[in-house]
Amino acid sequence: MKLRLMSDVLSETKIKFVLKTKLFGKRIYAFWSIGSTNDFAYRLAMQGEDEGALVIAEQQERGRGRKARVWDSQFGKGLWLSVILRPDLPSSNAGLIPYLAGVSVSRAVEDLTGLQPEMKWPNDVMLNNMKCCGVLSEVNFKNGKIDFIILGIGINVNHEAGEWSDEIDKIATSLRIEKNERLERADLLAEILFQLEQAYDDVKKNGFGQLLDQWKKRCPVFQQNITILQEDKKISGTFINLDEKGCLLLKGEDGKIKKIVAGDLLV
Amino acid sequence: MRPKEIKKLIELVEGSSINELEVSRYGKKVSIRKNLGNVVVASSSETAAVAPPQAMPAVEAKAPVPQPKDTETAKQEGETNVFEIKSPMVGTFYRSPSPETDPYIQEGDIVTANQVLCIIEAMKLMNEIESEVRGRIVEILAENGKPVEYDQVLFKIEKL
Repeated sequence: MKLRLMSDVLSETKIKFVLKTKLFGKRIYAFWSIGSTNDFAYRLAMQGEDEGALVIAEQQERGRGRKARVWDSQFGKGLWLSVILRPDLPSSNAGLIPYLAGVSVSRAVEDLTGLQPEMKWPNDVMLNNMKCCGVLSEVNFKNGKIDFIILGIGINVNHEAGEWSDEIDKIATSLRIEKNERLERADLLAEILFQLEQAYDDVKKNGFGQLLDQWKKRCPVFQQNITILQEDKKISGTFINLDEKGCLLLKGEDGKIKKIVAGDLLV
Repeated sequence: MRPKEIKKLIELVEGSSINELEVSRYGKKVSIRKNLGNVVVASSSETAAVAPPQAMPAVEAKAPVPQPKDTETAKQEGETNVFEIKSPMVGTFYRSPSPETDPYIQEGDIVTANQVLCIIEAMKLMNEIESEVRGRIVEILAENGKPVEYDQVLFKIEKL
């Protein structure tokens, strides 16, 4: 058992051995423990680190989500990673990039486990209506264009039920809980980066249309009535589409279409 | 940096002849500057370029917070001295990193180049908007938690 646990550690050597990508993971920064992989990747990018660099840690001490909410990043239980992207896109298109992460994770999970993940807007990956993956991205602009984007991805892989606080336990799940077996994190990492690279190559050649279509197919409430919580206000309507910038278009009862860029979709 | 540590630094600056102090730690920068007898605290990312420390001329420090009317005057007298910070993307405007924390800046604050002013969020993609100039925040034109459009003016800053 001990040997197996040791072999599960995501060292740079091990990651290099399993990777199937040319770009993502070209440089690997692997840590036992880090404050936040996003913060580290952001600093690397500011210092000129190339696109494709991967920052990964066995645990994050200050993993975070939207609005500085805590992202539980327990040692060795999940994949806590960030990658640096430098897409040649105007700043106004930056909001499309995070869709790459959600769709790629979803495809990778499906391929490896046979489970059918669903998307919750904008980028939560859900299994049985419980969250197994969250994406938090950060962007820096230069001269009206994207200088770099940090895609931060957190996936609950080998947690067992009850391994979170009561509050998180109500909304979170892991691949292990859903599949009822332990997963090799390195294989999942390799598959996610592979899917991400394929999707990234595709949007560079063909634009984001197909990626957004894939996302919509995986979203159970697409074209359904939804409610979004923004600050302390709830907005309801029909989720009619995603626009060309990735914004959610919500048609209210009055027939007016609202463009939503941020908020918590209520289940 | 913890609030307790920042408080200690403020006390240190208050009780000394130092006009300005900048401390970098854990990737964050805190700068503390005396202003009209008060102490102004600002934090930003460590990697941000920093304007050279400079004691504030007394006349600037004593200037009142400009009201909208003053902004108009400033525009007429010298449009080039007012710098506009615009939104680089469609998103939601936040004045603080989380609902529980204080706003990055208030109207009347003096900011350094590369100091973080707000966050714009779109699809859980966060963009910290930094000041491109050193100056005084004349006007904040967007409302916390509300949507902003691409190229919408968010702040007016009087260059110093």
